Formats: sequence, structure tokens, C-alpha cells
Amino acid sequence: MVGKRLPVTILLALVCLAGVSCFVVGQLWNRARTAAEISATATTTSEVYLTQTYGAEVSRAIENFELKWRRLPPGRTLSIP
Amino acid sequence: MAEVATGPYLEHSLNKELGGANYDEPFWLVITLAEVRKLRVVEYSPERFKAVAAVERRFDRTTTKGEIIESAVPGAICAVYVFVREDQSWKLVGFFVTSGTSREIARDWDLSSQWLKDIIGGLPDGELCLWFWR
Repeated sequence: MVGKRLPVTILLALVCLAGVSCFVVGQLWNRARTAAEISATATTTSEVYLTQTYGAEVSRAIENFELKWRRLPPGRTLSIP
Repeated sequence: MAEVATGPYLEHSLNKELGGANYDEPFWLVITLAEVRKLRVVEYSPERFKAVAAVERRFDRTTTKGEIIESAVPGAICAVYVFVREDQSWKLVGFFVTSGTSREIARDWDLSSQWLKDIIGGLPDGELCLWFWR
């Protein structure tokens, strides 16, 4: 009796083990993905905030650089860009 | 030049570009306008910032004697700019052009000097060329 049921029991055990493994892996993957999404969202939010807050100052610095760096004294030229 | 740039960027640019100034060029391009049209401020602190910008530029094309051949020649560039604060001013320490395709950008980044990579600290994720005419 025991000998006949043993393979079925082992098979059931393996199926259950596989199911639990898949569940655990799925949860871990989902958690990792959520963390990545949260991180990406935070980065984007931070970037939007930085651009709104410091955009004017940063633009002025870039424009000042572009205008002065590429305007050289006579006799000298810089390749573009 | 030290007024608007500093560090290895200034040294390398002067050595590379002024050392070999192109005196024989038939014309010069003199910049007359530079306006930031699209901007992403990726990092900012009181001492340093990193930004991706699309800049509209216009140039006067002149003879080597300074006579204007053509006015207001349009131009534009996308680039990553890294500035540091020095002597109460923002000065450029890192500059990397991102006007090309993603493949060209990746290739150019791979070929860039290590000092520039260290200063820029990696290309930002996402769009690197926010063309303003799109």
C-alpha cells in the first residue's frame, strides 16, 4: 500500500515545491520591479523639481559659457562645437 | 577662457584647439546668439550641476579679416553640461555632445577620455537630445 502511494506522494510534493518556488520567485521579482519603478519615478520627480527650481540659473550659466567660449579674440578660432 | 571654464576641460581644450588654431580657414564662425531651448537639470548642488540641454545658436560667418559673409547662420546642439562653482561663478568642467543617434552617443562616450567620464560621472538615463523643433 505504502509502496504504491509513495511515487504519488513524491510527485505531489514536487508539484507543491515547484508551486511555492514559483510564488516566491514571482513575489521577489515583483518587489524588485516595484522598487525599480519607485526609484525611476523618484528620479524623474527629482529631475522635474530641479529643472523647475534651478532651470533659469542653469540656463544662464550655459548661455554665458556658449557666448563667451565661442567668441575668441581675432586671429584665433575654435572648432565647432 | 578661464572665465567660463576650468579644470582639465579648460586645459585639454586650449591644448587641442588653440594650440592648433586653424589660421588658414577661409572663414570664422562668430557666435551671436545662444539660447537654451530645452533643459533637464539632472543634478544640482550649490557647488556643482549636471544638465542636458538643447541650445539654439546663431553665428555670423566672417572673413578672417572680420568682414561678415553671412549673418545669423542657424545652428543647434544637444549636450551634457557639467559646471562647478569657482570664484563666485559657474564654470564648465565637462561637456559631451549628444546630438547624434543613441548608437553614435554610445560610441562617442566609449571613445571619450577617462577624465571626462570621471567628471560627468555617467550619461543620464532617458532622452539626451531634447530637440526644440520637434
